Amino acid sequence: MIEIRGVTKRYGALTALDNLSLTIGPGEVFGFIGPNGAGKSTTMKILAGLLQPDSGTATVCGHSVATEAPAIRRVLGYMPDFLGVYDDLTVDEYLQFFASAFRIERGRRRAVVSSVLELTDLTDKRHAMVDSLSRGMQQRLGVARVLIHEPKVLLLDEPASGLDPRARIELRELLLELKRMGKCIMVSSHILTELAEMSTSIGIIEKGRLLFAGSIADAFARAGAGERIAVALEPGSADGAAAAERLRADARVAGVTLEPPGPDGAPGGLIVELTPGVHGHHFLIESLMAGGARIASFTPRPIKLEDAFLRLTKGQLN
Amino acid sequence: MSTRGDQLEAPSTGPLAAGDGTERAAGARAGLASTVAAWLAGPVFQKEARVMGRRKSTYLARSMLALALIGVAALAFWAVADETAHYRGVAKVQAFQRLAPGLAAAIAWTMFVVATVAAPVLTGGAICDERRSRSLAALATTPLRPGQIVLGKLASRLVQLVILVLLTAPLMLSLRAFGGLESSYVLGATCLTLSSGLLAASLGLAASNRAARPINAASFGVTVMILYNLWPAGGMLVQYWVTGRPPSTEWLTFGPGMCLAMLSAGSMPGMTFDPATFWIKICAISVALSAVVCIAASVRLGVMIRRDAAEEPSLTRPAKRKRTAAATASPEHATADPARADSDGGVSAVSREVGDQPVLWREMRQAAFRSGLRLAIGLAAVVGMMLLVYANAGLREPGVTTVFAVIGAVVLMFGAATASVGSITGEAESRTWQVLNTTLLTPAEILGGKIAGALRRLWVVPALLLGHCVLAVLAGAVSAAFIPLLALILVGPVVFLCTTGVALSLRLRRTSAAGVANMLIASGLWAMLPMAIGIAGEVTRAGRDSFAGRIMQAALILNPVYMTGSAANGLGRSSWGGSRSRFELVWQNVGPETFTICVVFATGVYLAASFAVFHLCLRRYGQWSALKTV
Repeated sequence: MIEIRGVTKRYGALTALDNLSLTIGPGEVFGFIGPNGAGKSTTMKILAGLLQPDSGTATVCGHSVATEAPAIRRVLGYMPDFLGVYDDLTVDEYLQFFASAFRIERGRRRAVVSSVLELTDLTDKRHAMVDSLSRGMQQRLGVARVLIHEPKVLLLDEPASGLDPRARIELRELLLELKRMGKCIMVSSHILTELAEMSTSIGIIEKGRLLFAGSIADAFARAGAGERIAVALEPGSADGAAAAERLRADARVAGVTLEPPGPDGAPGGLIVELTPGVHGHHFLIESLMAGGARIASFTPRPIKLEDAFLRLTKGQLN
Repeated sequence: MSTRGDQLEAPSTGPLAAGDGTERAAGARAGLASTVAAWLAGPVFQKEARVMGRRKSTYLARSMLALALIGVAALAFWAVADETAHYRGVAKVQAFQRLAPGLAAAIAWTMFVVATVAAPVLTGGAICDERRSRSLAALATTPLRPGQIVLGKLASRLVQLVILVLLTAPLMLSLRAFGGLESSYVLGATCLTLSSGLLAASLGLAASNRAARPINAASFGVTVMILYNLWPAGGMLVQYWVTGRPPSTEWLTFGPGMCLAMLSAGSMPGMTFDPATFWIKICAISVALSAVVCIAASVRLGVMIRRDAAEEPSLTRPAKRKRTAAATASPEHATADPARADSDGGVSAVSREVGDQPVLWREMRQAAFRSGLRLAIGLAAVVGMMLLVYANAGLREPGVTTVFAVIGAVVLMFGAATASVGSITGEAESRTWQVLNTTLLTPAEILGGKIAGALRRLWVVPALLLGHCVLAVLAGAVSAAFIPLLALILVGPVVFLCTTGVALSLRLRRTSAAGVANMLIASGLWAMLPMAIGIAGEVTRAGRDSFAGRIMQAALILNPVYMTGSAANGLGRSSWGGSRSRFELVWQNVGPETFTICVVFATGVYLAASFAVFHLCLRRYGQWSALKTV
């Protein structure tokens, strides 16, 4: 659905995108991750036909962004990082405005507006003035606007930015619904846990260069992030440092971090990171008990996308 | 650096309190100096000054103004030198002595107008830009007081204005070398310009507190300054109307423009005041009014900051739209109460059905005035003034229609120059531009809709003009042919200015920059071009039948204000009763057929130029639009 080949974009002396290549298939939800100024928004603006690349090619549904902008607009919905609204229109008029702008026939507009309002749970705000809506509702209105012409591809730039937790959850549910509808979605966000929940693949970009693109599992593998287990030792147990040394000698263990002793004299715990690809935990318990450690608790900690992101972006381009 | 204004409080204990009076006075002076520095040259001033200092346009504008004034002065001297080439001795010196005061007056007037218009443009975005970029809340959390914010912003912009005005002082003083020009004139004109600019800047800043866009605040400032300059004339008219006796010339000292006119004209018969120092009073009044406006702006800003802290700040003003059920497009949308609060207390209104050209649909529904009350007050004031003139001078007086038509043409051109300059920059500033450009709307539909909307918002002045003209025709003061002729004269320039406004709005980043550029186009076409033509005519001594003479005539035909006056005079009662009407054009009077051909030619030129500008916008749309997308 989306194909970017060797795209470079410069703003004066600043290279916003540096030979970026990327492919996103149908039905894929692509999480675009990167620090501020990495080039995420520029990539989306190029795909939306708002900016022209200095070099390289980009296509959406087979249409070139350089030469077939009108064709792309029919199949693509773009929501910028900050949603501007016409403060003199009601929600209904705002959506009708864009329905008309997308050449939806007058007779069909009412039904289309009703359906997107229902999907975004804004039906009871139909006649509210747009600027009287809360930020969360305005974001949902932005999604409704993007869906008005039933695009195959959605570009959502930081849709959860500035939203409170409830609004974020509502927006996430909405995006999951769109995912179920089979839309190809490219979404950028700083809230990586949410991206991990809804994305089928991710791309990590820094300083205009794509550091990684692929599935989340591949990202963890590429980042060298294995499963982590938190082990708490009982008071009076064997020395944690000795247990750590014992574990480090095992090839299945990538690393062990010692946690400081508690204020009540309880021994410090261990954070054990397994070698990527190792999933069994029984050898850990056996090894610790063999060394005289008494285990108070044994808690596998899920791997976070943040960890993979930090590892993949850490100093690579500096 | 302390930013609080508490440095004035004298310590009750400590060395200063125990010291002698001299030390205390020195301490108080130091405290006062630091307070003034904190209020005028505090962090807000420093930040604003740095931002302005980084803009290339600041230096470009200064350089262009200085070069233009030097160029005009050089051309005038060249013309006189050429004309007096065969003169000898005293006669030649006298010719230059006659030129210097006139040239100084032209420069002084140019600077007066530039300062009065530029000052509100400079300050119009001071607060509303902060509000739009959501930085006002951050500023409010600092120890800065609202007064410090207002004064800091005002001072930073006044520096730019003072530099602009003072650029011309050396030029005017250098003209004294030719004699015939008093230094008191240069001082008086400069002080009048600066004090007027200070008041205009304060008004722009005060309006910026409430305005949704900088151009709205700037327009408010310019409008109030026009009224401030014209109110003595109104006062004289009222006095004459009430007493039936010639009004006192003292009125003239209550308007800076009138004062500058008198200063330029020198002593007048019947003057009851000192011609050398009367301008000091109006300068003091302007400065005092500026102080009052600044205090009001500070209080207003404080209220806004407190209100925003108490509730969710809105980037734009609250929706006030109310619509009747008759405006409802379909029964599905009709509600018993057209403007009601929704379940969460938000503001609702009856939704209308959007047309097939959405940009045009929305633009055609944009209000020309922010509220119906303002429109009613404005209309009542103008209609009242017109009725006063009718009662005083009589509707059949030929000059009345000429004056109204000329004033209407000037106001309409000013409106046209500002009506469309925020059309695209406004979309970009409110972040709707990108979204609009991802729809299937073509550039022609978007830009065409914007131009049509700007034209529609100008309805008030043409409506007033039409109303007056109909009355004048019914009273027999002017021929009925004047109405279509006036419409033909004005339509071309208005369409042209609205088109250039949209083009500049597409090309430039800021509404205020687009507004200034469009005003420059208007003033260049209709003020500088005639001035240049006059000077060129003097230099070349071109006759009316020469090629150069024809070009000059054609250029003046393009001036809608000149043509409006000419048409009003030509079709006035004194001209058309029974005999053929004669219309004054440069160097000759022409008949109605020739005049109409000239008007049609000028309209054609403007419409063709508008089309060319529109076409250029379409060609450059992607490139210029991308500048707002980055």
